[in-house]
Amino acid sequence: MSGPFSGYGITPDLNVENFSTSSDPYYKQIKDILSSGNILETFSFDETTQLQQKLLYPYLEFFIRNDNNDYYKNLFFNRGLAKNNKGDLKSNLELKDLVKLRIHSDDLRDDGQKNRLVKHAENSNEGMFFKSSGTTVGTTGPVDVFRSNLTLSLSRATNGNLIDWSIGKKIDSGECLFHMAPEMTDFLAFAAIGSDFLRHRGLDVSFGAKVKSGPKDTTIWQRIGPDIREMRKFFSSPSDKKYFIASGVGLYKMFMEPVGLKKYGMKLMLNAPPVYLGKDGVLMIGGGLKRLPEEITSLSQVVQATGENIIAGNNRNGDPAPVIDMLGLTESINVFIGVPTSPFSDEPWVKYPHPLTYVALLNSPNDLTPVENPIPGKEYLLFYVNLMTLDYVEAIIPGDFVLASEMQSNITTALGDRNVSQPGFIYSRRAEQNEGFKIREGCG
Amino acid sequence: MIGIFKKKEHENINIRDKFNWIDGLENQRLELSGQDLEDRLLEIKSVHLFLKSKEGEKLIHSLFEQMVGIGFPEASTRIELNLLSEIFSPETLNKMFFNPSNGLRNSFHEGRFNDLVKVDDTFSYMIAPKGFILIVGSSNTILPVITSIILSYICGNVTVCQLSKLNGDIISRFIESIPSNCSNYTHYTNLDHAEQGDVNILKQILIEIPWNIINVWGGEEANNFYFQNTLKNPNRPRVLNMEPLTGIVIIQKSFLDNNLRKVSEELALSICEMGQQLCSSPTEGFIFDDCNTAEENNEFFISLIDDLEKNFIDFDNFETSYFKLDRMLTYAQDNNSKVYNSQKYGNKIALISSKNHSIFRKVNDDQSVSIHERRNFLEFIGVNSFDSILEQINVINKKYTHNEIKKIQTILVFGEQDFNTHVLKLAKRIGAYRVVDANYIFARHPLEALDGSHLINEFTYHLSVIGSIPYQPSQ
Repeated sequence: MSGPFSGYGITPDLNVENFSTSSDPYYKQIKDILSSGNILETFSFDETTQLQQKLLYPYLEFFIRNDNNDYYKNLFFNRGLAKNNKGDLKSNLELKDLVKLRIHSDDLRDDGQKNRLVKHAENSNEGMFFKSSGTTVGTTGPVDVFRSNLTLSLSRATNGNLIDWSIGKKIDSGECLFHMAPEMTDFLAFAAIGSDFLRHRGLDVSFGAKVKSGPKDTTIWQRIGPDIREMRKFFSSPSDKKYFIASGVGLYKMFMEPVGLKKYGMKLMLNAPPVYLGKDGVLMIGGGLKRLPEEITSLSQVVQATGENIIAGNNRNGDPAPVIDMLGLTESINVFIGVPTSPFSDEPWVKYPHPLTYVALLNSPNDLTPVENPIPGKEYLLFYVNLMTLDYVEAIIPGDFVLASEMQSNITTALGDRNVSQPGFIYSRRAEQNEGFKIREGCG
Repeated sequence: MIGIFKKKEHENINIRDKFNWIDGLENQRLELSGQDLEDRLLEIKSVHLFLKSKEGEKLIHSLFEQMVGIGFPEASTRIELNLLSEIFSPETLNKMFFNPSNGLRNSFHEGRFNDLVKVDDTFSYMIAPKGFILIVGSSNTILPVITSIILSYICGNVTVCQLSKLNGDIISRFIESIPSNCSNYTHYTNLDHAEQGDVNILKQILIEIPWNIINVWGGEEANNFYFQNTLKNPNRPRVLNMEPLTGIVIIQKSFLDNNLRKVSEELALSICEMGQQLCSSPTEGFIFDDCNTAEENNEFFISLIDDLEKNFIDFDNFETSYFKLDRMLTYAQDNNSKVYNSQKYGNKIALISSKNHSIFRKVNDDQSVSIHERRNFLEFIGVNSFDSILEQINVINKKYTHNEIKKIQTILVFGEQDFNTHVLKLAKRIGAYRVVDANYIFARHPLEALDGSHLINEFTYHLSVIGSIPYQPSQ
């Protein structure tokens, strides 16, 4: 119970020096890159690719050096990246070869990550386990990923880069409300990493939900309810810089679902809507469509319906607060970040990776070849490698389809122009089982 | 003749209200058993000519459209319908009914089938129909059920078909459209044992009608349902289960080295035929190393991928299955098996080379794609002895990939004479039903037994005539 949020969350002091890996040359190389400034703001596409190419061998060699039970030596050989199982890498490797190291999200369910962890991650006291909600039908349990404090320390920098770049300035003051319970910062990656980074930057972090007591056989998700006091406090604060971080479901439950007396009751309890986020306020959203009614087919529907009620200002005269949509995955240390957009904009919500995240768009689930020049608007399968995750090779096929976006080196957002360091993508959908015609077993 | 059927008073459903043909079954049985088998045989042979006529071709074409419309794969539908007319060819029917391997050749007299056979002065026998046959069809093919219906009719039985809602209409339409009295003696229930509303009616049908044979073509669940409910039928019908089975391929390495092209081409065809979904389709391969070399068969795998690409028929995408499939393949790679896939079609064609044991023996359901979900996929296990094959076949259905499989139906073999002789011995030890060359993965030989049973034998019985009873021999 050493976390900063009622005992929950990532510990403020990560004691990175306790890790022998902190003297590893690759860790130092990453630290140097991250301390040189926010490369999202300055790198071109080519520079990002050059950086990733430069890191390819050091990255793989890091895992060979820190291997546990020769897992990576064997893996690199079996997957065709090494000449033998002693750690001698082939000499002509390219970034696209990283797809050979792919892990499917389902590989990380239960203790699927365990064998993949390097030596420094053996001691689970110095880190945190993050879990998915476990609500995906037909799976064996939640995705369960261990993050060492060493990796978490790097994520403070990389996720900080992403949000600073998206907002357009370094975030170091203001208030934020996570529409979640503090308990969730102990296992939910988005809540834990986001709240850690914002607290670390000096923001006042609060939570708009709490876990109620309930029968032992119920899950935390079944016992979660609003923390009216915290929400009221946040909504009534006169600060000019408030970040409201919510899920699509949260927004729907608060501002769309209540009608009639319930709507009136909500207004009475929260003194909202409308919600005033101050002149520099931003609504940040994430999450998918689970638990939303069928008629809601995209988060933009929720944002449009609530846009008039979440205002960047302190009165009705303010503009609707810009929205930043983020794709956060348990199996990714970094979020894929959107840029500030008007809630009423018809522009697609493009997500951008950190330059230390190599992203490849693959042809299809049965043809996992990285596509050289993705066609804007066409659907591909997402694959990424987080080059700053040092606990295991985070080369993931999360099972999400995305659309390639236009290749633009500069973009205009609701809060100004931005340099683009790596092409983004537009989230499309989760993979589905198309039942179609299935020949049943039988004799013939 | 209602009295012969045991009524169940406490149930509200009256199966006679739903199926008005039930009360006429006994009269129909008497009619049929009074007719000559030879007459029905001739009548069915004439259907062959009809199927070759314009009208017949029109019927086949409309069946094709209907099947493809439902979602049957086009290529396999074409193969099935092409073979359909073969069932009615006089040559095929003669081979089936004068088959020395099931003892029916004794009924052959001057080109005719005589059901009365004199063995000696004190013993004769008649081939008599069993009576009432219930055929339960599976949804994956139409040929086996049509074969059963036709043979049951020729043998002189009244046949009731419990067909899948998917293809039931296709089968009944075919039977009703051919120029034969078969349709008069064939009835349909077409209920769904998985549907609550149908299940009680179906149970009553199974229990109350004095079936002689219940011939079930289906998966594990269907077989269990019919087997369990039939136990309550006082007539004690014989349940003839056509269980979920599979095929294997056994290749002699030295033979492969000398006949690489032949093996590759023929095996590719066998894998592609009907999307690898037949009980005879090879779903596991063994390469018997008689050369004592640890050398990989790279050339063979590359050639087989190439041949599979040539024969490739696309199939519906199952996105999440591809993730499982890829996890299977990467698991195999990580555990020292070699994986080959297609440059052209990706993981839609995948071959695995494993040493000594199947790499998937320890993989759980979550990480493996069953043989019913995958196409153009084959794991080859390199072995050094027939005992090793036997050992692995004995536990094949312990693997999640093959977990509903009851046994091996077909062994496809590529080897020299001596080697093949050993394979025959192995086949006997594992209880396989067929050892074939690549021409008989889909096709059935008219003389062969179906999963160990000759349907004509099952649909008839021997009525013995013993002692010095004088009778008029058949003409």
